[in-house]
Amino acid sequence: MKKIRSYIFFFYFKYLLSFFLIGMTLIWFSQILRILDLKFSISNQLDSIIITTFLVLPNYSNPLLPIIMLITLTSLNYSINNNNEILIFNQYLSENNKKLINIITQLLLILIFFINNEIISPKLYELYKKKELEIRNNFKLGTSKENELHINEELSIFFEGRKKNHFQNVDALIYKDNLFIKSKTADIEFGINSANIIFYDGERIEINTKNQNKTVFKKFSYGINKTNIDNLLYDKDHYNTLELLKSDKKDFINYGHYKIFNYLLVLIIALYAHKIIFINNYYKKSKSKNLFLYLFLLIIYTINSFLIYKLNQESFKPFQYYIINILILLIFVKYLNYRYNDN
Amino acid sequence: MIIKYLLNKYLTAIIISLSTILFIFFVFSLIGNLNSIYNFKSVIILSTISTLQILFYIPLLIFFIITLTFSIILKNNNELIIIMHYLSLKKIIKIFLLIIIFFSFLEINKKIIIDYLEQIKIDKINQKTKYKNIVILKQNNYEKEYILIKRENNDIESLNLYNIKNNKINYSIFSSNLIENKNEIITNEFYELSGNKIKKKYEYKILFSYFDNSFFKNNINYLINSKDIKLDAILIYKFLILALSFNIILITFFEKKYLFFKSYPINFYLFSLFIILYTYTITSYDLNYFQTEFKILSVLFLVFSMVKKFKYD
Repeated sequence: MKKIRSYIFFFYFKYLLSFFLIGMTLIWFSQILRILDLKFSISNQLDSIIITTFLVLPNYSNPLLPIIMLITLTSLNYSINNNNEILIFNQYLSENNKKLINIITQLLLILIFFINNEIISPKLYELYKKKELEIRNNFKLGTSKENELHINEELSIFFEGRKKNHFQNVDALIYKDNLFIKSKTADIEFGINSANIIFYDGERIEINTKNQNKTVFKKFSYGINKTNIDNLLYDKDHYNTLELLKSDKKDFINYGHYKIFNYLLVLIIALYAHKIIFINNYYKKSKSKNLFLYLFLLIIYTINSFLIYKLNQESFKPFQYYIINILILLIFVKYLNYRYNDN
Repeated sequence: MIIKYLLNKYLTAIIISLSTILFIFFVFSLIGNLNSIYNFKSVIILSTISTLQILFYIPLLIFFIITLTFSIILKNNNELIIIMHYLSLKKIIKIFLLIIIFFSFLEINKKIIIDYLEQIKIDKINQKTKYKNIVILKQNNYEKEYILIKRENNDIESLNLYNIKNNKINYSIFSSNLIENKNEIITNEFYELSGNKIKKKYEYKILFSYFDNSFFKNNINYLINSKDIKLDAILIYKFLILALSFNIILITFFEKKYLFFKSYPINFYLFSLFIILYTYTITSYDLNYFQTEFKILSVLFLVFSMVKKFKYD
C-alpha cells in the first residue's frame, strides 16, 4: 500500500514538474529570443538576458498553475488508464486512501504555490525589474529591424550588414536637421546617458530652408542624448496579495482580487485531483472530454479577465466581481461533480 | 499503412500540443494586457496576436514539444517498439522530411511573420496615432530613394528626397512649398542638389505620386518594386543547421536506447535542450574572426552527431 502511495505521489510530481518545466521553458525561450531580437550592442549581454529572464519565471508560473495542474491530472489519468494501472489502483486503494494521497500531495503543492506567490516571486520580480531596466536602458536608443535602426523620429539608419561590429554601407537620415549621410561604415558608442554614432568615409547632405550644403568626410560623429531613460516603477507584481489589497491604486487592488480568485481555482482543482486521476475512462471519450475541460477553464479565465477589466474601468464593484466569479466556480464544481462522480 | 498511421498520430500530437501551448500563452498574454486602456474586444485580439507572436519566436521548441507528445502517444500503447521494428531511422526521416522543411522554413522566416503580426497589432491599437515625420523608402534593382516627409498640423511642412544610384548620392531635392493633390505631392519651388551643385528651381514638379495619409501610421514605409530572392550562403547555412538540428531531435526520439523506457530519461531532455540552445546560438551570432571556419565547424558538429546516432542504431 505504501509503495502504491509513493508511486502515485512520485508520478504526480514528476508529471507536474515536467509540464511545469515545459511551459516555463517555452516562456523563457520566447522571452530570451524576443529580447535578442533587439540585438544591437548586446553580443556580450547574452548571459545577463538569460539570467534576467530566469528571475521572472516564478512570477509567470503563478497564473498558469491551475492550467498546469489540470493538464497534469488529465495526463496522469490518461497514462494510468492506458497501462491498465487504474485497475490495480482501484483494487488496492480505498476511497479514503485516495483522499489521503490527494490531501498530502495537494497540501504540499498549495504550500509551494503560496510561498512562491507571496514571498519568492515578488522578491525575484524586483530583482528582475532592476536588471531588466539596465538592459532596456541600453536598448533605449531605439528599435531595430533587420539591417535598420530607428530612434524615435530622430534618426533612422539603414545598412547592408555588419562586419566586426561595424555597420556596412550605411544610409542615415537625421530628421531634425534634414541631414542625410551616406558612409562606408559606422559604429555606435554607448555612454551612460548618451550615445555617439560615428560614420566613416562618406558624404553628408544638409538641405533645408536655411542651409544647403554637401560635405565629404573621413569621420563624422553624431551624438544622441537618451532623454527618456526609464526609472524603476513599482508595478503590481512587486507586491504580495495582502499588500495589493491594502494598496491605494485601483488596479493593484483588483489584481489582489484576481490572485484570490486564482487561489480559489487552484483549491477547487486540488479538491477534485484524486477524482480526476483515478477515474476509469478507458471506454469513454476521455480526449474530447478533457478538451472540453480545458475549454471550460479557458472560458473561466476569459470571463474573469473581463470582470477584472470592468473592475479597472470602475463599472463593477468588488462584491459583484466575487458574486459572478463564485457563480462561475460553482458551475465548474457542478461540472466536475457530474463528470467525475458518476464513475 | 504505417506511414498514414504515423502521420495521423503526428497530426493528433500537433493538435494536442498546439492547443495546449496556445491556451497557456493566451492566458499569459491576456493577464498581461488587462491593464491596457483599450476595450475588452481589443484586449482579446491583442492577446491572440501576442499569443501567435510568442509561438512564432520558438518553432524549434514547438517542434520538440510536438514530437515529444507524438512519441508519448506511441509509447503509451507500446506502438513505438512495433513501428521501429518495421521502419528504419532513414525511413522515419523521409516520412517527416516535409515537416522538417516546413519548420526550418518557419524558423528562418519567423521574423517576417512576427513583424507582420506586430504591424497588425500596431494598426489595431494605433489607429489614431500618427507620426509627425515619416520616411518612404522606394527601391528597385537600380536605385534607391529615401523620402523624408515632415508634417505640421495635418499639413505637409517639408519634403526631402535623396536618390542613391551605384551606391552614391545621385541627387537630392528639398521643398517646403508643397501642394497635396489627390495622391500627388507637387511643388513649384525647390532646391536641387546634383553632383556638387545646388540650384533653386521654380518649376512644376511632382515629387511623389502615390501619397496616402495612411503613410503617417508608420515611421518607415516601404515601396519596393523588385525584390531579389537572395539565396545567399548565410541562408543556405541557416537552413542546413536547422534541418540538421530538426533531424537530430527527431532521431533522438526514435533511438533504440530509449525505446524500452516508459518515459524518456533526463539525459534525453538535456541533450535535446543542448541541441536547441546550440542551434539558436550559432544561428544568432557572428564572430569577428574565423567566421567561415566557425560555420563549417558548427555544421560538421551536427553532421557528426547525426552520423553517430545512425551508426549506433
